[in-house]
Amino acid sequence: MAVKMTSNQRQLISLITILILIAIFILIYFFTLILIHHKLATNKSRNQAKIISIPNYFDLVCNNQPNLIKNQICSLVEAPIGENFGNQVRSPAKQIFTVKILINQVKDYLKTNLYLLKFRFFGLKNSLEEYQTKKSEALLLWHQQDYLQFMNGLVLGQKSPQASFLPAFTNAGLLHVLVASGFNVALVGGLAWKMTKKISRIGQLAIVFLAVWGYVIYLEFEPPLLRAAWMFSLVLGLKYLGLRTNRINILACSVALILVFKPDLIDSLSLWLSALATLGIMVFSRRLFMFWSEQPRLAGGILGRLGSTLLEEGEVSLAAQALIFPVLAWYFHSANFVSFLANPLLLPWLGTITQLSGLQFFLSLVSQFWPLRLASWWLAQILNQFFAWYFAAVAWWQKFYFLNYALNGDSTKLVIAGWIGVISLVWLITRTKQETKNHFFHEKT
Amino acid sequence: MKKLKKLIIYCLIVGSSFSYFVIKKWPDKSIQITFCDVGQGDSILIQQDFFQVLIDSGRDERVLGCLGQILPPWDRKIEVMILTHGDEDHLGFFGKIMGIYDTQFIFSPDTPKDTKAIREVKEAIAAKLTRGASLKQPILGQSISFPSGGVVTFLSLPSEPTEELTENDRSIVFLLEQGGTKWLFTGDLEAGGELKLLKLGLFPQVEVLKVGHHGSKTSSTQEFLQVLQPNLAIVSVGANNKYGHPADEVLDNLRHTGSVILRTDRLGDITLSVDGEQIVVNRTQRRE
Repeated sequence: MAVKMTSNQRQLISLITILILIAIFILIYFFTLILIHHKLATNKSRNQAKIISIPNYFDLVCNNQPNLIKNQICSLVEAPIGENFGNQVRSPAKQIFTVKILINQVKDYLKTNLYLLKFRFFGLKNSLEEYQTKKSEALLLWHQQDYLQFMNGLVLGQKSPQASFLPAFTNAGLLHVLVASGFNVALVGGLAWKMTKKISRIGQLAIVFLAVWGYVIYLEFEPPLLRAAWMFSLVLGLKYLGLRTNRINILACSVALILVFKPDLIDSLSLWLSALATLGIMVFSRRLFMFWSEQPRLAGGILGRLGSTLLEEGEVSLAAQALIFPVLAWYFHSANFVSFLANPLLLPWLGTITQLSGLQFFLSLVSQFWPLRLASWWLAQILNQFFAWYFAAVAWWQKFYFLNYALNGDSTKLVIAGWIGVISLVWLITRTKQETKNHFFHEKT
Repeated sequence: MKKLKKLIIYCLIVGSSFSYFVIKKWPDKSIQITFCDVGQGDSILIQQDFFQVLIDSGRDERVLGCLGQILPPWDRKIEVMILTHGDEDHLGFFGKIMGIYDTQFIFSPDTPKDTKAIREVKEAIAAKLTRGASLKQPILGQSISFPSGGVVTFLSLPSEPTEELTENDRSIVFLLEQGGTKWLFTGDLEAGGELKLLKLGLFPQVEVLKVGHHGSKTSSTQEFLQVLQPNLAIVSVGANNKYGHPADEVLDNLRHTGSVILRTDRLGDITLSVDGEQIVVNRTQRRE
């Protein structure tokens, strides 16, 4: 039963929420900083890592003090204490020195431990990657190299430049499926959520956060993943606290948070493409839905459901492309019209394929148990068939490649102007005024 | 009730597809010999029932696709592994294969070579020895019997301490006999090695020859081929390889002896089977 809250209570909850969020952000920022520069740390042995921070004692003490004290203390560094401190300056200087040493010791201790944490974390990550590679190699028994690379792209966002299917995927505008993004985060989060249904709500929330952010950290903070993970976390956190969420605000907050913590991502095309695709889905998918929602329903049964799913997925795909199309035209000087046709038809199948691929990776990790190895092998046979069909379907679009254009300066402007025209038209005929709705979609008042 | 029906239908679909794949994979009692397409290199799998002999591994992971196609997934043991000699295109991936499959006997020649691949293989062999495998150096006349008929006999001679042999001439050579058919596998044996074994009269007339050293002109001399008179010659070779293998002279010599030539660069994996007197090309498959 819902309990009505007074405005004071709501304010208090909002305040607590903000404080908790700030604390979480600080923690994540702190750990992000540690993890982002991991390459530096992993190259150093533990002893070297400790040596790095030793000069801090003297940097602080010798460079930041007034001259008199500085002379005294810095000479002290080179000689025994008893000989250098006179009675007059001894007491304050010694106190400052002792305090500074203590501060620096604490800092040094923290830094050393942070380096060790990094070293251990990335040591663990490297071991995991080695294990994953070893298991992936075993998967080559049942999968072609191309299929394995495709699975790696779908589940882990790892693109292999030598994969033979890349040109076909690029021309069909499907390369984005090989980037780990919101879909992967939703899968990981959803799976964690389902698996933890029986524990307490707060425990469930903690495990889901851990799973999602663990996945993001494992894939080294790829911008689309970061965007999706922030959105997911914010929505989940706010929902848990019973607060209303606005999808566009959440998207804006996520992008802002990413840029606050890592400003150099401001020129990351993948971040903006990811954000624009999400915005496109939020803004246009419902509008596109109006075009077919009033049409007679497709036949019932499995075929009808399949048709409806295809239409829905197609509408989401078109909506996502609505906003990224001008960016691609501007940056890459290409207008990929095949993408508009191929994506709605080829994307809907990827959800199932990605889930099965994830399951295949999981089974490969536990393949030392023969029943699970058999299950893994059986799944591989099924997946191989799917992949063969899917690759053939992507290659089929080859005959429409003439629809893709390379743009020059003038034609880029023309295409973008045309795009603005189309988008405006869609916007116009799907705006909320009732008479427009009635006119175009025969919606009853 | 509806749910139960659905569940039964799903179980039936999954069960029947699973059974279909298992039955397709179940090995029979005839001997199957697969020449894997591993690019420029060698890898051959001989299988009878659940008993397998793997000869060489090729250079890289391409061998895995071939093994996966042939071996049943529930059987993670290749009973015998034979490393013909120390070249990387023959043993480069053995270390990894030993990480995936268990084994009982490993036959390896004594090689003076010390490369990264050989060190990896030595480490893998050491690990296998701790798990109960045996390492053997082949002796002339030593044989391996297959469970349902068929014998592999080693024809390698122990090298004299003073003798300076090339790595290729150290290759393990062996003969497979099944029913009335004879198959000769020569690794990368070159003219010198062939001549030495010819003089001793060790080579019989054979039905199938795995052409030595990927069809290089340094192997498969005319005298050698005249003695063997193979009906079928298999060349394991990479497409457009930089060595120009197989050499035109070798192919001409083989044609003169009346051999049908099958090449892995053109056909992909080649699987032959022997049932009594008959040799059948079961399957050829290009994987990628």
